[in-house]
Amino acid sequence: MVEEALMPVRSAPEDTKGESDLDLLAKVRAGDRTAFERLYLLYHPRLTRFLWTLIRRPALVEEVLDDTMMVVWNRPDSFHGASKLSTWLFAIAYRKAMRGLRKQDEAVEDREAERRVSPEAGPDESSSRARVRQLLSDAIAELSPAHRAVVDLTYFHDLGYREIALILECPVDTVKTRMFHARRHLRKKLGGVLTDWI
Amino acid sequence: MAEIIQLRSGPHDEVQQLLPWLVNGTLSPDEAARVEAHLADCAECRGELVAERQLAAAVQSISLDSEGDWERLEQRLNAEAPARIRPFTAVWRKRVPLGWAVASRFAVAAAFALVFVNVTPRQAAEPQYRALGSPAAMPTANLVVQFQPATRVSDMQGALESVNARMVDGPTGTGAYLLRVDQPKRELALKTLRDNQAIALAEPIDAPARE
Repeated sequence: MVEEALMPVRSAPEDTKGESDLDLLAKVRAGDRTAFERLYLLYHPRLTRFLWTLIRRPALVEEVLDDTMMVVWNRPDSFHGASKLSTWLFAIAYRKAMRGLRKQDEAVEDREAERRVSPEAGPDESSSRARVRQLLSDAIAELSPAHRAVVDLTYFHDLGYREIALILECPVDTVKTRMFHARRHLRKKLGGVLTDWI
Repeated sequence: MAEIIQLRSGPHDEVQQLLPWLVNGTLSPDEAARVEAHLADCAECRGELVAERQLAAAVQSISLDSEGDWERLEQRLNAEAPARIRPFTAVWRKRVPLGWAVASRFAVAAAFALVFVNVTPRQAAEPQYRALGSPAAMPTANLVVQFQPATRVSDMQGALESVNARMVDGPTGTGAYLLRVDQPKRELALKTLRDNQAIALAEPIDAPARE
């Protein structure tokens, strides 16, 4: 069930009532707390996934996620509509995550928590695929947070490089360069194990 | 990870850079056409594209155990509720620089009392409106509410009727209303009002210790 919730979102998100994220934000502006809850539940899977890739520490992920959503509640008018709401939210989350990471000593990184990335084989797959996933997860963990962000936003969230540049507040060429490095690193670490993946 | 690689600017290198976004379908039509034209002539890049698709699929397959925890965020919302009410917050901070806990119900009630004394001193000290033919003063308010900004008048009336409240004063400069309910039923009325989605804030305005 959780895996279903974390599947890539390829279109503008809508909640169960068919409201778009912008519909919900309009209600949040008017102080509607139930709309805020729906917006939170709508974005929680994607933001959690993104922050987990960046931070890899459960407590900090929760803190940054809540800090991000509190910006939506307290300052909804700071979204001017120049970008998609998701771009704005990811940008806030990224800034807060990087700030949170700088505050914490890298040495205390929660190595055990990385195991939460599910390496277990699903009912229909072989243990070799689970091993590949673990290998990949470990290889991603070796990248810098900024490189991890580009990988996750591209491969999992299906964002274009221009939108990623907006989120990370960097030139588009930097996004391309980070992705180039990251791909090279991941493929080097994985060797030929992905040959039969699809 | 140092970024020391200088990417060249030839079409082959440009295509190599753009492959991830060809795979996720976010290239512009012009870019996609350019990349696909190159792929038709370049076996190396076609091989890269296959590897790229495999890598993307593998990354997408990584999931993690995560469920939303709305209750955690809601607790924080309740603790920080006054932050959304800017006029109130501004006056409170100006008048009560005592470091009181934001979440304290009594602090909120006391702060509201300060607001009313400060913003509408005349009304608070001397009720301005009296019923025709009645020499008695308006009843003393014993709670204060603030409605959500988009609340309709009918919903406001419904909220007041649900607890048999009388409106004593308001809206004040902070957009709040002073109400009077039967004192013995005040706690129940507060609970009912706080459960009402149209109500942003409901607080007693005299100290519970005096009840």
